[in-house]
Amino acid sequence: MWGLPSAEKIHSAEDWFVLLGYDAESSIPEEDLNDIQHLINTPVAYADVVSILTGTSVLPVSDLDIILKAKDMNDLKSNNHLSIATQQLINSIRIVVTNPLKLSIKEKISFQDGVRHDWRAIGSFGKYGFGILLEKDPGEQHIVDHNSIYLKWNSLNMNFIAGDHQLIGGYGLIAWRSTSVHKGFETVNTLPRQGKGIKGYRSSNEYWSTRGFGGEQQTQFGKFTYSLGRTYQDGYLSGEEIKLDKTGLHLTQNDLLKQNQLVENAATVMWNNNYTSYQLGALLNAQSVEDNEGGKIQQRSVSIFTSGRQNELHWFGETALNNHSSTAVLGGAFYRTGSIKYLISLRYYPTNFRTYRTQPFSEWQGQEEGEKGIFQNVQLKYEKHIISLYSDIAEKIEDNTLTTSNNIKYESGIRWQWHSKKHRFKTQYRVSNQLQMNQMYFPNSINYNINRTTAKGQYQFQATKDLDLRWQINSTFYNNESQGLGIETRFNWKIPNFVITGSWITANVDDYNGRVYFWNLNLPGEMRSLAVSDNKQLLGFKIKMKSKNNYQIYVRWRSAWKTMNFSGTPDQRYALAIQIIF
Amino acid sequence: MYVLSLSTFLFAAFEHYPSNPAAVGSGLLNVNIYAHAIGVFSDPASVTAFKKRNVAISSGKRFGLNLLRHHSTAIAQPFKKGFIAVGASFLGDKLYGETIWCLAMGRSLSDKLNIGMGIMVYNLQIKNYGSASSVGINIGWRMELNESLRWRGIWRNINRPTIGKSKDAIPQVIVSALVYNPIPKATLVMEWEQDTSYKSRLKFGGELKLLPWVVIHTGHASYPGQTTAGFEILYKQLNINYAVSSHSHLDLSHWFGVGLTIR
Repeated sequence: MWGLPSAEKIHSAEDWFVLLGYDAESSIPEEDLNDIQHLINTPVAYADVVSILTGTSVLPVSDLDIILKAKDMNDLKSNNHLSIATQQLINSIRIVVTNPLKLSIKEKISFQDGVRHDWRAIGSFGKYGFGILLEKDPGEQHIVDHNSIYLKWNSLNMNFIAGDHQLIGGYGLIAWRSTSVHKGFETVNTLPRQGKGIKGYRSSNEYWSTRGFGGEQQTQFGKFTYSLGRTYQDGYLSGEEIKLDKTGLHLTQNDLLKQNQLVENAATVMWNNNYTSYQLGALLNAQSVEDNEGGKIQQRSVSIFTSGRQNELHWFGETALNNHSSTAVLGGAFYRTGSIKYLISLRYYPTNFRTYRTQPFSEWQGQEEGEKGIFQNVQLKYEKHIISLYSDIAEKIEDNTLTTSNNIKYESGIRWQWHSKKHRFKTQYRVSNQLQMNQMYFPNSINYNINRTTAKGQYQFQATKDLDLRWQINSTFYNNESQGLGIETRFNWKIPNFVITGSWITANVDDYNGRVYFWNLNLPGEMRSLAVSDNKQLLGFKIKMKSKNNYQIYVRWRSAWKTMNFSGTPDQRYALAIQIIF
Repeated sequence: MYVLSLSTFLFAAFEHYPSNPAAVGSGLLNVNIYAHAIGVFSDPASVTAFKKRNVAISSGKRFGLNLLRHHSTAIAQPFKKGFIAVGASFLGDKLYGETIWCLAMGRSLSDKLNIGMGIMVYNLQIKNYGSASSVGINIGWRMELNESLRWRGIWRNINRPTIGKSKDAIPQVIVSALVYNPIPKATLVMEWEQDTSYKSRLKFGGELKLLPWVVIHTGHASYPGQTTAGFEILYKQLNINYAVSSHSHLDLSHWFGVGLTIR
């Protein structure tokens, strides 16, 4: 059904996420981006490949099983059951017997409404590893306004980490990464993935890490994971609610008044164990968040999570209870054969069920926004065709009675993909209807007051070994009031020591509601999109200088005209990045 | 006009850092690519370039203003498994004076990577108002990317120092530079400087060794636009430097320096 394994390679993490099916509207975890970037650019030992791949949240469960069972890299490369995206990623990894990485340093300077400076280092020596992130947003006065540093120690059965870290467990009802599982055509691959445990924190999201220490211990009774932290955060307390400032910007007096005003003391313990046909785990979390004025909010929560498999059927779920006596539930079943994947998931989150690092699969993410919903996703593969469908219906939980509905949202989409060695087609259609008010269910039908329809088409052509071209057309229709249309032409051209990427976007958009999204020309560690919300012409180039040695230099230039005929003064943006591996 | 110009260039204390004339002539660079001991003030990792003891002095007057007269001296040398440098610098006159004391230490982590740290003691004296001091930490690195390309980085005052009762912030600066040698006798530098209170400055410059004993420098820095030039005379262990920089509204600035390498 799948044919021979692909021998193609990818050149950047951005290429890979596009291949994986992520749209420019998607939110991609920065941690995953860093991990994939690391695999592509740095020679790694096979054990590290397995560790990194199984730690990313975007890899399909089916691929995960294959990776865990594989004996070595050749075994993986010859496996034609892996998804195309994973095959191409595997082909792009350079394997070494022992990990030669001592130090990798990356500096990124972006000129966009000021200067954003981002400096990262990761390294290892023996059983020890470390990571450093220092960052300054445009206009901030301190050159290391945000910093994240950790030191870790790994052995066969035990890991220990000191510094900034995060514990990711269960399915997000208590402890998850900074972005939730994305809702879309690829959710079938990611929602059934369970959190892997403790990790060093390398994301530039300034409000998510825990500063303290944590670790993992494998015992005969299962694996125990723990995290203890005392972390300063931006924000304030409002009654029984923690108002976090998630922007990470410290520019105005108001920003500075909120900076580090909250201190969180938190303890999280997770246990999980594998049994013959299922896995069982539990998470316990206690935290207190205090402000400078004596305010204090204490939260405690506990969850049980499980997953299991019977032939082609995989099931998973988590239920959590907190000190407000709120019980939240997320569960699902996943069926897969060689040519079909089907996922159904149900969720019920009451109001105020969220604790600090709750980030489950959901439509709404506010502290007081509970919801219930049903999500379905199916992928069908036939020869070189892949058809994906998804639908989600969600209702916000506020003041529900049997006869009243609140903020109902119904979303569905269909996508068709086809590829050959030189050509790749993708087209998709997505509709979302939302009711933003309370309405009687019966006898009235639901009169949705927001309708948004997007359609996309994409064609990619591998003209030569060194040149590929991509055309994309995106359109949005919003409530019969506004619409947008955007077309992008993009190329990647490889010449000795250089890769040149060019992008031309032309967009005719009525207003913000009709906005269209395209991927930006991303530098390493970025996965940003451009939301074009008016008539615009955008030209951009990215040059990657890749030496035979150990460094890469990137330059990006983007120019935007607010007219269709390129008149007027364009808005210019630049960025530089350098990456060095020792 | 005089007051206006002065206020533009004396927005905060310690904005004028000690520089060696060769770096000034190459575009007001912060990175100490030519290994002059005065350069360890702004580029602490450059202390690792001193395989032999080097003593240097530098003097000058910025924008032709007596208020911005400056004098600096430094000594750098290998020390046990690493490198060390000490220096002192004074800017100002009898009414207003800024003194910087510097202790820089560096180490080669590999043949491609050197790191350095500078501990700076800042002292500010204003006649009839008294004096105040503060301590800043500078860190930097020098990396060899290949035989002809190097990457330099500096973070100045990373500890966020302030001075005086009013806790005025001492400028924090990020510098990143690429240094390229197209031929052995020529060096080209592109440097990005970000003082967190101002717009970025891009600096371009370089040097050319015309004769075994003559080196010339030239460069340009943006925001404000300043063009620079200079020369260096080499005689045995002695080097003599001169540099000048222009400004669109103010007078020329001059630097003069002497360095001695002691075996």
